Amino acid sequence: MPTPSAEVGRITAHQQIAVVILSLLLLIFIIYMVRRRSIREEFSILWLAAGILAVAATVFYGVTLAITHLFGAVAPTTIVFLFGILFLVVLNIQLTVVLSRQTTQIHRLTQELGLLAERLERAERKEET
Amino acid sequence: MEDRTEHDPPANQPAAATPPRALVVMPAFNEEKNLGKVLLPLKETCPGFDCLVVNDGSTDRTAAVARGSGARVVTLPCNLGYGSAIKTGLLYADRNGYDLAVLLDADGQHDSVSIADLVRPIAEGRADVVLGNRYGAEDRGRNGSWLQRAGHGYLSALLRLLTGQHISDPMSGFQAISRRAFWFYVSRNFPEDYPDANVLLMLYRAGIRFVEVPAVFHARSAGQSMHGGLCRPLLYFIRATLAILMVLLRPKPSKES
Repeated sequence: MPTPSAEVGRITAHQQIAVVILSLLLLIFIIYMVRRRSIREEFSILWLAAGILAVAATVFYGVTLAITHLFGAVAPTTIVFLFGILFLVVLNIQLTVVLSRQTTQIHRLTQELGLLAERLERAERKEET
Repeated sequence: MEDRTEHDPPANQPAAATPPRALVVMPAFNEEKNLGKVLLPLKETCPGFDCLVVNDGSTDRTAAVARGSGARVVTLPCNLGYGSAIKTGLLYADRNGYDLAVLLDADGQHDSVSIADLVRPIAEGRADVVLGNRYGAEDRGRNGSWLQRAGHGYLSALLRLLTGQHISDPMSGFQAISRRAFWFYVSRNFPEDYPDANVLLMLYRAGIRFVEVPAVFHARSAGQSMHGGLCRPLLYFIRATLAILMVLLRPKPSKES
């Protein structure tokens, strides 16, 4: 089983600070969007989790290395990208679920609206005569 | 067509005293050209039936044409598609205490002379849903393109395998539906986005009895059909197969679900 070598597995304090700053900016942006109700709380959880995980993976770099080892990957970057892509896939699935639910709701509402309008129209016509 | 303005809730209706109340449901999307021709003969072919046009977000004069012919009109503010329009029609039939609904295409494909034949098995208590078969009894294979016939043959074989029942025209939208089956069409089980051969399998699994009777079909007189071209029918049958597989993966539809 390949183990992460000292060469590819190393991270400098410089890199760590850069990643943490980026992730924190993402987190702050998401919190800001939730605060002004641009993102509903139910959808913010995935995003917040992603931001927190990005910070954690950098700060507790040993954990990242351990996961790299666990997956048998050589470079920690592989794991970071793997989880990054996985996150995007899960997020897309969530969006599809929400979209499907909303389509059903809109269809139900439209049907009810049509039926109600007809009923009202019929009642009004009856009143006139 | 009688214009009934009073609608009794179904519970208050005497069971045997009044004749069954029937509703012709016509989903219509921009059908001003065909609709009048379809509505006109209804008075003769099915006297005593009410007619409901579900105006599915049309941008033309569909609603005006329908009203002019004395039909009831439910207008959906935006186009939801065929399945949703059908569901709207059945919601209407269910809530207004009808005993029977007949689905009729607004484009003139279905000849209303066959409605009497479609209704008969329900009146005799032999079935809850009756499908109009465009291939008829004798002239099977005469109508439709070879591609359409091949597709129907395939779906028909698949359904026979799964339900043990032979339906030669499984994609027929020409249907008579008894009140006993309304619950299925207005429930969330009904696949609004994709009502097709999969509906028959669902009906079978829900314990709703269906039969097929020969019916008169015509070629469309104006406008575009839903299933044109070569690629689209092929895609259609892939989707139909997937939809049928999906039905098998779900629990059986029941009144509670």
